[in-house]
Amino acid sequence: MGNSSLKPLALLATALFCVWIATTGRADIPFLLTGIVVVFAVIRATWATFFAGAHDFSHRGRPWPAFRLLPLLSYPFFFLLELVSATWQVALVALQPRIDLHPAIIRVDSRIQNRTALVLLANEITLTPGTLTIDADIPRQGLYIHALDLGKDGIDGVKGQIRRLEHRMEGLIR
Amino acid sequence: MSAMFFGLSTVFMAAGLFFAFASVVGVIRFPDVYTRLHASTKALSGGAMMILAGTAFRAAATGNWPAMVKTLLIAAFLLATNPLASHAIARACYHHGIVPKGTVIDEYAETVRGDRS
Amino acid sequence: MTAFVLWGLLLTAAVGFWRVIVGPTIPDRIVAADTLATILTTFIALLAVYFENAVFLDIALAFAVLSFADVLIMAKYFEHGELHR
Repeated sequence: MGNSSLKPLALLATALFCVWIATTGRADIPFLLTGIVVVFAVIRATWATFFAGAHDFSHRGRPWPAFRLLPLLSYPFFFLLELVSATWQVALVALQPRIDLHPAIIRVDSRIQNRTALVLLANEITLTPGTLTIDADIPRQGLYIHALDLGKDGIDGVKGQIRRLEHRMEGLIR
Repeated sequence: MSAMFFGLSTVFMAAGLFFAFASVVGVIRFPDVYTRLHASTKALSGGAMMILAGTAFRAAATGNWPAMVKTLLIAAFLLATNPLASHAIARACYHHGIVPKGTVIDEYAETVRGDRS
Repeated sequence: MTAFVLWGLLLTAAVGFWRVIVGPTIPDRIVAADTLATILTTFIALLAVYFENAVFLDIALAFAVLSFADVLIMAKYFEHGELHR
């Protein structure tokens, strides 16, 4: 862990400590001290698996993107709105009397270079209406997307939807 | 204020129950694994979010703030892990050789074939 | 009202169990089991409201973590036929 990884380390430790406080729900001194020990044990155990590898791609931009504050605050609302719309749409399709689907698997090449942002985008695609990420070709920024029903708006419709999400994600990172 | 939270929690729980039921119906009626994943991931994430939001509102109505924070933590965890699980299952199915039924286009097939040879 | 939602969720899970039993392929069963796990997580969280006891929330959190790890392990095992990759 060099000097360049100090900032993500501090961020990770703070986030894990918040989770510890939320799960124990107490603020006594012994609980907080145990929390510090547990946080560093967790970081020690998971660092090599999840975070050290992030530096292999450092020439493709920073592993941890710098987020813009204002879009980051409004992002959850858009996201929950998309989730509710996706839920409603799938429920409608499932409760139809006749199921007539035209699924397809298409490849969409993304402009986003940052790995963390790309993974976030892939997760968001899974939770938005009609699309599901199957695999990601991370070195070449390609996402393989399973579309539930291509009959309605075709490939261009699905790709346009992905582009819209991608545009919002680009507004989120600096 | 507390009565409003109580009413909101009831509405959210009922909506969540409806969506959970719709997602299970989708899992049973859809034709193949990949379309079933759509039902299992999206509809169920929305339904679970609504039920947990109802629980959080109920906790807020009784003034139990630690329980509310914990419920929101469960919701955030489900939201983060459900897409990952569905992605893992879909990828495993495809690499195992289960062909999606009735696809119009399949641009993933050649990549997988290239990996195997 | 909470009791009604609890019974509804239990019934929904029972309906979903049909797919676990008949599912023609193994991933069908995994998907159905994942669905049931998420439904049961919310069920346990609702039990906390019903019994007015916050302990159930801890159980729900642990159950969510375990079911996620479970699905990942099953998918990996199904993909490779072994675990260490």
